[in-house]
Amino acid sequence: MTLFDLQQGEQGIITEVRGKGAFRKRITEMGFVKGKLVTVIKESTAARSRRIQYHGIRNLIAQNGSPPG
Amino acid sequence: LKWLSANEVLERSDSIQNGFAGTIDENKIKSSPRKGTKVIDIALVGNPNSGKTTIFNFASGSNERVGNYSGVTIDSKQAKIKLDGYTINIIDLPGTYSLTAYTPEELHVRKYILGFHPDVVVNVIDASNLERNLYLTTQLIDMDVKVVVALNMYDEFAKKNDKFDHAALAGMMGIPIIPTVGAKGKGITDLLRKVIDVYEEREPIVRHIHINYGINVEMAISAIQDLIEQNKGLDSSTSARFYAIKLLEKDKGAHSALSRVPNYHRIKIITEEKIKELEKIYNEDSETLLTDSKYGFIAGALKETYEPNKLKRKLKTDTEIIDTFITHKIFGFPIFILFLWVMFQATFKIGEVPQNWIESLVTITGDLTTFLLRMVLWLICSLVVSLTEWVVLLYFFPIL
Repeated sequence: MTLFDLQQGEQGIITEVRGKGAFRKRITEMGFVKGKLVTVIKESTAARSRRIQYHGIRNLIAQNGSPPG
Repeated sequence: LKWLSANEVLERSDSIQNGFAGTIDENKIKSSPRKGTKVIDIALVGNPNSGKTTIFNFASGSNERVGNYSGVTIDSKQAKIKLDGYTINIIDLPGTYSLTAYTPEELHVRKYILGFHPDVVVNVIDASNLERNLYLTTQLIDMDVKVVVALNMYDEFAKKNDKFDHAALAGMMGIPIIPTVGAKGKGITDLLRKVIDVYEEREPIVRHIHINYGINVEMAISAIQDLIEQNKGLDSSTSARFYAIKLLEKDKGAHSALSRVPNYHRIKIITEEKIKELEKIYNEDSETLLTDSKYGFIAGALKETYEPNKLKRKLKTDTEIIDTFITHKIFGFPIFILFLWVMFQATFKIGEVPQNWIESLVTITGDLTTFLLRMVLWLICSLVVSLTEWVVLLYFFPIL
């Protein structure tokens, strides 16, 4: 199950961070580490993105992996 | 003949004596390079949008551009401040989440700290985002530099009524923490005074701590650290532990920095060996392993000092309520179009005002001036009108 399988309002706990190199490093440094609770606060099917919340921080994750703007 | 006055003789002999005053203790140089010179170099580092430039502006009385979004500071700015008989050279660095060398800003900040050795690093932290902001602090701890933390936007944080014992956290990390409100200039003089105290080594809180990465990682670190330390004199300016950690994180910058030391080949082999060992034990990428431990350290430190206010927490913040309307799947688009319409209307309505002035000006002067002069006037007028329209447009765009 990945972040994109979660519906709006659902919560999940991170068990694994996939990806490689700079992306992986960046995302773990932003606080996406094992055991963290993540809430999807807004989903957008058009942009394949999720606005999520984890330990009080709000972020937007887009599926192609690049952080928006 | 050249004469020397008695005072000059004394001065000269003094300087000669000082010149031969024995060798300088290397450790002393490391701890405070220019102690007693009363000139302190400080660098502001922190996450994007944590308020570094606001603090910089307030401290130095300058007027650099600040914005409520990330990445406003793209190069570093410097200023001089005089306080309590000290000259403080303050440098405002671009915001970074981390000091790995993946982005240009990160590389810039890291090069500055390692290359120029500011006497004290001021780590600006957004108080409402403690966990993520402290990640950079843990990297500064690894670098063994002198740090003072500015707990910025403290007024907003205080409103939430969370329990946070920042003095205890300061004691735990060996880093003084000063609450500041950059926008109102609160706490900034305290911050600078604390910087002076740290520089003069008068601050009892300051001590070097090491983040404990767990027995296996620590053993790998010390093995590599020992190898680096064998090259005495070559690498006195940067902590060997920092390089060892960075090597385990597969950091290219650390590799190139160490590539000139005599036993680099051996360091490289041992590092690769240790990384393989660790990845086998934990079944996890070595970079992630170290990041996880850092967040573990932060979580542990906050657990003891920070307790979020559960009772009075609002379910939704003001911006969230606005967001539910303007980012709604169906209502979002009409609202967006409405905003655009209002903007265009405003552009022309406000632009009409100077247009009318100018038209009346033309009619008044029309009888007196020649056709050519009127043409020139008309040109200037249309320029003014379109300029006002542009100003209105540019003013409204950021709001959208």
